[in-house]
Amino acid sequence: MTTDNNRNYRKLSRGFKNKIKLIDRVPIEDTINLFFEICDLNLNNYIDIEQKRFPEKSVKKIIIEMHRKRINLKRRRKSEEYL
Amino acid sequence: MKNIYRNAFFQLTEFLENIEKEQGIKYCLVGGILVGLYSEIRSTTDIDFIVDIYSANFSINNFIEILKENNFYPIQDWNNTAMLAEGTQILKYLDKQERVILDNYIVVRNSADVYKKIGPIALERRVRIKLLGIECWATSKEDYILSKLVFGGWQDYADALGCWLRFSETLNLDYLDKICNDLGISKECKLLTSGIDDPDEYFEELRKIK
Repeated sequence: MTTDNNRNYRKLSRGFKNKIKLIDRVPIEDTINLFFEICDLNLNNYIDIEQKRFPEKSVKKIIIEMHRKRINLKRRRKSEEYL
Repeated sequence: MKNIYRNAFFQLTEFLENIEKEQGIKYCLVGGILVGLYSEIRSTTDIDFIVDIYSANFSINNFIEILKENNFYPIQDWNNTAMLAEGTQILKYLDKQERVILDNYIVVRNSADVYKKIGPIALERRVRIKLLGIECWATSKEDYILSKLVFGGWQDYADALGCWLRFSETLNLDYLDKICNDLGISKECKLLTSGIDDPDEYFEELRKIK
């Protein structure tokens, strides 16, 4: 599979435009509820997984390390991949 | 499931509304917390907001005293938080559950730094919104796009593109053009409005013209 095909596959699987169209049909209160639901779900899942991996680690430490990882990932994407 | 993010949002907005009423410190929410309202729904783990403490004659240390009184907690300790904020003008701390990072950008006026220019712009045109039944101040859609184009990471561009695709018919295009020009992001803005509908394609094209 060529790089171009990979990119098309990414575009198709992401379906960004259609997702946006779908969001537009959902009442605004529901999109907001959905957003908070997703955030809570992901945070809870992340904490659960990390607590199982590192039972001695405090939740505060898990959260701070998660935040640092995210910042590093953002910086790397920005400097290496695109700009 | 625990309502970790929701609880942090409730604590923060109650605090921000109170300090605006009682101390005259203006604020507005920016960034990821607004994706449900303005863009594509995605997850985030922190809450970004700007606060104009200097216009209300507060220093970073005075403001930290208010944070302590309102059950916010430092990542390491408050001295370290203050020291870092003196340089960056960003206070980072935790909600009372110590589960959500709060990115508190301090408004800096007359700065030459393009990242700092966004703060006063966003505050001037802030809008009243309702999230989970709570009325609060947030950046406008136009300024949401502008800040995302200035910060310029993949996710930022995807958020800006989502907002453009959702609201292109109602956005104030003259304003968007003017401020993009002032901030030196006209190329990014022009590309955003060119009909592109996928974040990867947006990056591909941006690389060609930069």
